[in-house]
Amino acid sequence: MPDIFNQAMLGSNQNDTKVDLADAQVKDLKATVEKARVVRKHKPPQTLSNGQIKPITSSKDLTQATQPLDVASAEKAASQPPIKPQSQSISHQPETLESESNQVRAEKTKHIDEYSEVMRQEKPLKSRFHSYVPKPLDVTFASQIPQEQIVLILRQHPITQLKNVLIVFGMIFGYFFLVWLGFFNFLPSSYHLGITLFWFLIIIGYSFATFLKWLYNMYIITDERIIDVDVYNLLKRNLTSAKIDHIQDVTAANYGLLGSIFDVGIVVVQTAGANPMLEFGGVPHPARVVTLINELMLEEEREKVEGRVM
Amino acid sequence: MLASQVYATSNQAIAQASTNPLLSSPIFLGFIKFGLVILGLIYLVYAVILLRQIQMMNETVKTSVAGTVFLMGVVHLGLAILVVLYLLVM
Repeated sequence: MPDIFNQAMLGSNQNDTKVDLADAQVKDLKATVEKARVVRKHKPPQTLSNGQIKPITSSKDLTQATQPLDVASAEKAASQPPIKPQSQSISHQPETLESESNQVRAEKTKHIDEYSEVMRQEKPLKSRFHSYVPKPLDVTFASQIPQEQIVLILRQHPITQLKNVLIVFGMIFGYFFLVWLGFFNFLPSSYHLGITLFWFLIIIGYSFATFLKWLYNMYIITDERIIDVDVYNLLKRNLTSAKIDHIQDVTAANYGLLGSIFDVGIVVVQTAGANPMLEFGGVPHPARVVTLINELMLEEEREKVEGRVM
Repeated sequence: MLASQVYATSNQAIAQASTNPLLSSPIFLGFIKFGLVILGLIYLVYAVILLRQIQMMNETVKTSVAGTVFLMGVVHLGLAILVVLYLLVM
């Protein structure tokens, strides 16, 4: 092909048929080169992040256009295995980076037992209906970062629910008191049964709602932040979090007779964030919680000094 | 002593009230039934909201007891439906 091209370009007319053939081929070649230029003009080569030019594999026109210009390279290319589309590796690149980032984070993050004396003495626990759950085995929360460890989950001590238990007993006692007085005697028995069922349904509902409020009103301490999940009532809940390195001051206090007996108290965390104060009321072992938060704060400082902050 | 006095007084009052034809009239009983059904329906809405709240909280914090608590919510809703049905047919 190059010989024919050269002959045609030099204007050799030794044989008319050959010249006609060469003219036709030259025209074809010029047309394909022009076509290739147009394609190249409309689709400029893309440069990858590593500086290499991305091969255009999708444009058949360009491949066909460039093929007649260099037969040797085309044959060589044809003998090689097909080029793997670069677009796939580009599309998977963020996932790879994310997994690498998580791996690096995992390497840089220490386990809580490595730096916390309080947590070293605690055994991991399944978070059933406990009020003090160190290193919970089966808890995750919605906004958890992949390598974020939940260190402690706190709920109010069951003794703080004494008031609600007394209310429930009062409601049960109230019903039997009214029956004893004969308050429903003037009603037919079916009505009496209906009122009794409804009354006990209200008691069950109140107990259940109180239980849920206690269960979901929790304080989650991770190695990165503190989260306060407040459930005020059925329709109002609030989720506040503060990063450990934003904490400025932590205080604990026991209150009352029952607080002293059962080691129940209040933990107040003052932060530099938008929510200046987080208050954990009625939690067990407040002094231990404060010690843990101080250890976490120290570890955060160490991470900053050692450059382990992600 | 005091309890027996309260009991005697209330018993007397209720015995007098029982003889009152108004209290045993179908209109009065119908009024009570209507009130109970309305309260039952309000309670049903409360039970549904409670179940929805459980679902939302289980999405926020995932624990191993999530299924148990949800089941308790479903049982509670079932009880509420049964009681409302009884109040309708009593």
